[in-house]
Amino acid sequence: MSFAASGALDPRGPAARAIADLWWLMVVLGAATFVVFAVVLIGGLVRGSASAEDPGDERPSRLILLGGVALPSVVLIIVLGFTVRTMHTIPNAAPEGALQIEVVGHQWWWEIRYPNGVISANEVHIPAGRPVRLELTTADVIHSFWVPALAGKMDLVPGRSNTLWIDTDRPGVYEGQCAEFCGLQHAKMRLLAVAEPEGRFSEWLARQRAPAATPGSPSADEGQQVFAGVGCASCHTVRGTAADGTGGPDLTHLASRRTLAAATVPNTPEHLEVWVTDPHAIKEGVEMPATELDERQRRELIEYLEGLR
Amino acid sequence: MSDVEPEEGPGLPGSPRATPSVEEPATDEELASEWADPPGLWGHLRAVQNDAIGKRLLLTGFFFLILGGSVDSLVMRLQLARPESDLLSPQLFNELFTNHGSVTMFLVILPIVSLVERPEPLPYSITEAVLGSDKKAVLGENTTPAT
Repeated sequence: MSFAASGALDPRGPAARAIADLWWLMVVLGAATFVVFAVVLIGGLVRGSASAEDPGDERPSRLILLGGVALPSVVLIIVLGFTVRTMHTIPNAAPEGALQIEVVGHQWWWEIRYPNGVISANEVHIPAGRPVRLELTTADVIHSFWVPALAGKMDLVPGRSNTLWIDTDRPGVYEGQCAEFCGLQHAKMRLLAVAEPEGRFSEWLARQRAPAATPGSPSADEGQQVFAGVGCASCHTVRGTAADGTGGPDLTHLASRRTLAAATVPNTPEHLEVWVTDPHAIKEGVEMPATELDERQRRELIEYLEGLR
Repeated sequence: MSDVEPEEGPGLPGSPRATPSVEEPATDEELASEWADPPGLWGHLRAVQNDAIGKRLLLTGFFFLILGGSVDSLVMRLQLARPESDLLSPQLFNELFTNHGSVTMFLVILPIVSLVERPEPLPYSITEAVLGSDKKAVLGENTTPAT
């Protein structure tokens, strides 16, 4: 499924743009080299039989020196020069007014922590036009954070913290993906980067800071009892309630997110119901266990979760 | 050794076997029969000659290239040809690419590359092509084989 713009060749930030430019340069040089060699090769094949009787011809050795030594040296020196320049273009020091966000990799989802204490999952909200410093760590194995439209990849390595700068001037929703094989569901360890204008970002962050909405109806209230009763709370936190588990994603504002299961399916009540009762039908092998609920419990629980805006 | 023509020497192109050889025909024959590979398939599997082992490595490498290189990657590419395809389970896909890596590295590249390790200098045609026709004039005395 596709939620958003993605792709390293459709760059929406300065770092991604620098990388895309380098890529195009390499494609052009590679294609030019290929064409030159194809022409020489075909020329050699066509004229081959005619000049075979003249072994004293010195041209072949000059051709090999030119094509085998001079040409690759020139091409590689150009590529090296532009690569070093690209590395300098991509920021590696703190620009003014940067925002810091922590990203913690888990098998197979992303925990996102904001400086004001907000903890979310699988959706990095960033203010457009302001550089963001991502502190990347992991709770288990090596992962790699990659939002191709915004920046290059950076690994999340156990026992250390890596830094990645992302920056975009264009509001939009960009797709990301774990880029380091991390186990069974590596392919479904995705995320969204949501870039919003500064004002809307601040509003969003303030809303996320608030504790969970109180259930708006008696059945949603029942749903909260189900949530506590069947064991959801031992892994999930819902701030403002007794649920304070830390094994799984924070669900305080679950219904405000666009996707479920690390950007695997859209966050609709139908998908949420399947996810809650049998998560392995959507994402085989995840830590979250299936939960047996009767019809009424199921309806109440979904109503409660859908109220967590 | 100096009066032996290089074309007939051990291990060079044109020699029947890469076995030790001596000038007296009687001893040479004895050595040849002593070192010869046993006949038949069983004999081939027990071969100790470089050329027989080399061919076997090449064939083995090629076999695993088809099996681990081509079949694995073809099936993986089929899975990736369509978005959200459920041709393979995630477990099987992960097993295939792990297998693909190990098989290609250890059962294709390793045996085939080991064939390329040869004690002789680069084939004459390559040095010739790069350095011009008079190799010795360019490289000087150092190219003269040590005797």
